[in-house]
Parts: sequence; C-alpha cells; structure tokens
Amino acid sequence: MKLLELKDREWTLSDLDDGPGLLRVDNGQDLLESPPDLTGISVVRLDWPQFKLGQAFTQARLLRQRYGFEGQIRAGGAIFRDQAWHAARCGVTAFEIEDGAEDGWLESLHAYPYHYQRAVTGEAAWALRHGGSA
Amino acid sequence: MYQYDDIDKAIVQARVDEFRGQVARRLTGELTEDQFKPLRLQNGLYLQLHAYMLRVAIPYGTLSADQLRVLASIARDYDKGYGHVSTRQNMQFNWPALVNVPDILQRLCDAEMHAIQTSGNCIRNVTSDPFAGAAAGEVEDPRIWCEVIRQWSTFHPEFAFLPRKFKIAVTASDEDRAAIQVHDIGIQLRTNDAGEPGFRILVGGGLGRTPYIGHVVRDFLPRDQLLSYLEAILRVYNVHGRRDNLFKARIKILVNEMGEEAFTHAVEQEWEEIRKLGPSGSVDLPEAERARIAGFFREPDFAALDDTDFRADPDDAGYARWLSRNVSAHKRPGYAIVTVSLKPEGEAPGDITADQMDALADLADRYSFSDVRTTHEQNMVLPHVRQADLPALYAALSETGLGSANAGLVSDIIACPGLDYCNLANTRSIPVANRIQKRFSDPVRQAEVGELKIKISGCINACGHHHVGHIGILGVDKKGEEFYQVTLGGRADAEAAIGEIVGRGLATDQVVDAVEKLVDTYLSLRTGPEERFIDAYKRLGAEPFKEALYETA
Repeated sequence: MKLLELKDREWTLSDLDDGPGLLRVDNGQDLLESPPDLTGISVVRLDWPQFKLGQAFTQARLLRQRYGFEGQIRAGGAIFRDQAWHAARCGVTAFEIEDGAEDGWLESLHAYPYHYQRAVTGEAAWALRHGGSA
Repeated sequence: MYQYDDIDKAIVQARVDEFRGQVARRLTGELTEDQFKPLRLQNGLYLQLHAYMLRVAIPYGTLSADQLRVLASIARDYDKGYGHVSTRQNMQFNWPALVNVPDILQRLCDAEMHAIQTSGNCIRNVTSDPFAGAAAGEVEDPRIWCEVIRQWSTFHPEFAFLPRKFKIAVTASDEDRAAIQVHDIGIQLRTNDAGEPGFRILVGGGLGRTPYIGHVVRDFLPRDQLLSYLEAILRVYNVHGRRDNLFKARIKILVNEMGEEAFTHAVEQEWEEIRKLGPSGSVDLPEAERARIAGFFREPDFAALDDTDFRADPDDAGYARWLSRNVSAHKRPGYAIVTVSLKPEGEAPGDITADQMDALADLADRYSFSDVRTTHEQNMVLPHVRQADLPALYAALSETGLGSANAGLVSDIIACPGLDYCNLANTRSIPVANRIQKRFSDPVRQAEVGELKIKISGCINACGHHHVGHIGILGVDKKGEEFYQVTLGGRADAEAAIGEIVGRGLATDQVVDAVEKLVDTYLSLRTGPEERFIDAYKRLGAEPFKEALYETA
C-alpha cells in the first residue's frame, strides 16, 4: 500500500506510515453528536468498510467545517478511485491506495473541472458565474 | 427552459468521458461486474432480465422538441425503435448494448441531457408538475427550484452514497400533480401570511414495501434558505439512516423510527449548525444565481387571445371525448394544456415509438412553443396549445397513434415493466394492464365510468405505484404462481392516501373480472356521474366493494 497525499496542492505518492498522532475514526461514529478528541492528533483516518457506506463523507466535512481540524484526513478501506473526488471535496487529503494504482487515482481525482455546490474544497459554479464568493 | 452554460457543458462532458473510461475498464476486465455495478448505476444503467436498460434523465419532465428528437434517434439507432416513459418522468431504453452506452451519453450530452443519478443510492432526478408554467394558481414556476435542486444534487460530494435512493418532487400550487406526499422530500412552493414566497417541506413519504405519507417538517421555509435546509435533512439521513437492512434504509423508516418530532428537531438543530458557517460558508444560492436560473423559465411569448368555446359539441365523437379527457384549463385565455396519452389499448403503458417522438416534436414546434413534458402517470403533455389549434392537433395526434382520449380513465393505467423486463418482479404487469384495457375497450363505457386511476406493480417494490391507485393491483408470487392483491382508495393527489388491502389475492384470470365488479359496484352506488370512483369510495368505505369482490367465492 502507498499513500497518495495532497502536499502544497499537489497529489504526491509516499510510503504508508502509521506514525504517532494518528486517530482512527470508525465509520459508524456519530460526529454530529460530538467531535472526537483531536488533541495532539495530526492525522485522522476515516474508514470505508464497504464502498457504499457513505457516512465518512459527512465525517470528513464535519471535521473540516465544524471542528476546524487542519491536519491530514486520510481515507482507507474499500473506497475506490471513482469516489476519490467526492472525498477530496469533503476534506479528505490523503488516500491509502494499492501499489502502482496512482495513475488511475490521479485521473479520477482530476476528472471534473467544475462543481455545482459549495463543499470544503472547489469553488461552487454559482460563485464562478457571479464573480467570486457570495 | 434551462440552457447549459460552459460550466454545465463541461461537467456533463466530464461525466461522459469518465464513463467511457469506466466502460473500457469493464470491457478489458480491469473492473469486475461487482466493481462496475455502482459506477454504471450512477449513470442510469441497469442490468435487466434480457439486456441492459438505460434510464435517461428528463429533469422535472421538461423537454424541448429538439431533445425529444434526440431521444427518438437513440431509440432508432440503439434500441428497438421505442422508448418508455417512467413514473419518475424519465425515459428508459430497454435494449442498449454496453459498448454503445458511452456514445449514447455523448449524444445526450450534445443535446444538454444526461443519465446522471437516475439510479443508485443518491439523489435522483427531481420531478415536478407536468403542467408547470401552464396551470393557474402557481406561486411561480416550480421548475426554477427543480433546476436549482438539479444542480445542487448533481455530484453532491457528501450525498452520493446514501443509505438508499432519494427522490425529491416540487410543486407550486395547491393542486398536486407530482405526488409530493409520497416522495422522500416533497416541496410545495407557497406564500406565507405576509405574501412572501417560500416552501412547505415534507419528509419521509414513499411507496415500496412500507408505504408512508410524508410528514411536514417545515410549514414555511424562506425561499433563499432551501439548499441549507436540504443539506440538513440529507446529513441527518446520511448519519442516522439505516444501512443494516436494505428494506429499512429509506428516510421514511428513519423518520418513523425516530418519531416525527425527534426527526424534525434533529434537522432543525443541524440546520442551525450549518447556518453558523455564515455567508462566506453558506451553501445557499445567492440571489443573482436564483435570478439567472429563473430567467430561463420566463413565460413564452403568449398571444393576447380570448377563450373560445372549444368544448362546444362537435360532430366527431372521438374528438369530443378527447376534449373532455385530455384537454385541461390553461392559465392564459385562449390556450389549453393537452395531455398526450401513451396508453393506447394493447401497448405497454408509457411506451412511445421513435416515429411518434419525432411526430410529437414537430407538433410541439408547431403548436406548443417547442415545449414537451413527461408525466409521472406515464403520459406526455403539450403545455401551451392555442384553443383554436385543438382540432388540427387532435387530427395530427390521431394520425400517429397518439390520439387516445383516455387521460385519467380506466384504461390510462400506470404499470411497472414487470416480469416482461425486470429481474426483481414476481409477476407480469403489462399484460394485466392490456387485459383491463381490452375489457373496457368501449370508449362510451369508459367515459361513463369517469376518472379512475388503476396502478399495477409486479412486486412489492411498488414501481407501479399501486399503493396510491384508486384501484391498486400488486403482483405476488405464491409457490411459483402469479397472484394479484387488490388495494382500494389510494390516491397521490393533494389528499394523498395509501390504499387498503381488501382481501385475499386473486389468480391471474380473476383480476379483470374483479376490476369489473368494482366498477359495476361503483356505478350502482354513486350519487351521480359527478361523484368519481374515489369520492364514492371515500363516502362508502371498503365494505360494499369487498362484498362485491368476494361474495361468490
């Protein structure tokens, strides 16, 4: 496994490293109810036990927009490359991927030039249409 | 109607390119069918009994004449010469080859169409009133808000993998022609006491194996806060909706398990949290963008006309019947709304051939400002026809087999594709619909019976909306034999109700007799022709109908 990580606005490949400061958040954990303890945490790993279990998209967005987490949000498990741009727009900044799979992931991450709605990253179409944010 | 700008075009084109790549990965074996399935489903591509089925989105049921011609060309070039209007205003093609689907999507894209999110556990194509912009009594054209929701929901990054599919319908008047009370979210545009426009929001309606009427979670939501409120609902659902059981995963189950009050509280609380992001973080649409989208739904250039006495008794009995059934009041004098029936006797309800699509497109150009609609009752509509043009339009429709004068009558049946196409179905639906049509073939008798909505589903998933049929027919499999369960008193209008099961299931050869007994019972008990079947049922209850059905058994 490798880590495809957003560094200085570029997706960069590195070795997967579970260092200190890593918090694993279970897919079923209700972050609406309460935030996880983020003291001393530099990486939050979200899990997709199956690709279709989409709670982690909400978890990522809450970590960024409600709880102000600025470290790495890492996606692992059964998430597949075609879902990666959704996750990235929700605030995910790193993906655990199979060795040699990076070209496909990069293609998927860059498949869409515009987005309709405001999320964590990527300007909304309506903002572009009317010159900057509302 | 809405027209794409460069951003819309680039987004839809990116989807075509992405799917072309995904199909290539599938064809080379890089993707297994299991891995490919969620990708094709988000593009409306199902694997049915005999072939792939492609469901093309017709956002809020609105088509231009040119778009209808493109659908005709797809039916001709990639299908067996016809398409099928679904109960969510979409068009389905039953015989495309996988290798051709990227080319079909490209052709759609070139005509500002797509198949995005017509299946999968995501927010589906938003539906609306087929008379939008033409009927009297609207606060404003509901399609403005449908387009707002279409854009917001397209590739929404947080809500693309929900517990289950998610359907939204929007209306803008007290008449409900979009069945908003049986949608995951129903939205009714209305004004408050101060005369300001806003929305009533219903959540948790739905059909399927556990039918529910939606609950009002907000009686009035200011117009500019729609998207943040929808995000709050979807987020509560994405976090708390059940994923352990496919049959309990819809939001209606969550609303009922949490309780209406607790669910509403959770949504309102989440909405307050979202609003704390302030204007710089707001997901709501700025006024300038609302106005831009609204600009695409301005009224067409109506002429100043007087009403003509078009319902005068003409010599042609067929035309007279068509006028009385298929022509509805328009908001402007001198105009009328025409329902084009896709229910001729003996055809699959909702089917339309490529030649008929082309003919209808030409008629839309000539008589209806190039505007065509699809309806959830599997018909089509020409919304803006001059009353003076009705005789010529009727003659032209009849010539192409689209002149059936049966809108809302016993032969205007909603039916799912059933076992003839669908791999979920227990029983056939289309042949049952055809046999009922044949029994009531006499147009005079149909007219005498009056409005009667029969809806047929070939399995518990209820794609034929049987729960909300005045007479609902549900196919069930009992030890390898097809049986049909009858429900009565359902309706999908402003007084939406779930039909009652009246008794044990009927064998295939008993269904048509049963419908006839119900109709005869109604005819014998009604106070007069102005009391419709559903009114009589409401007054009398199920008892006399049950007796009629089961007396001789």
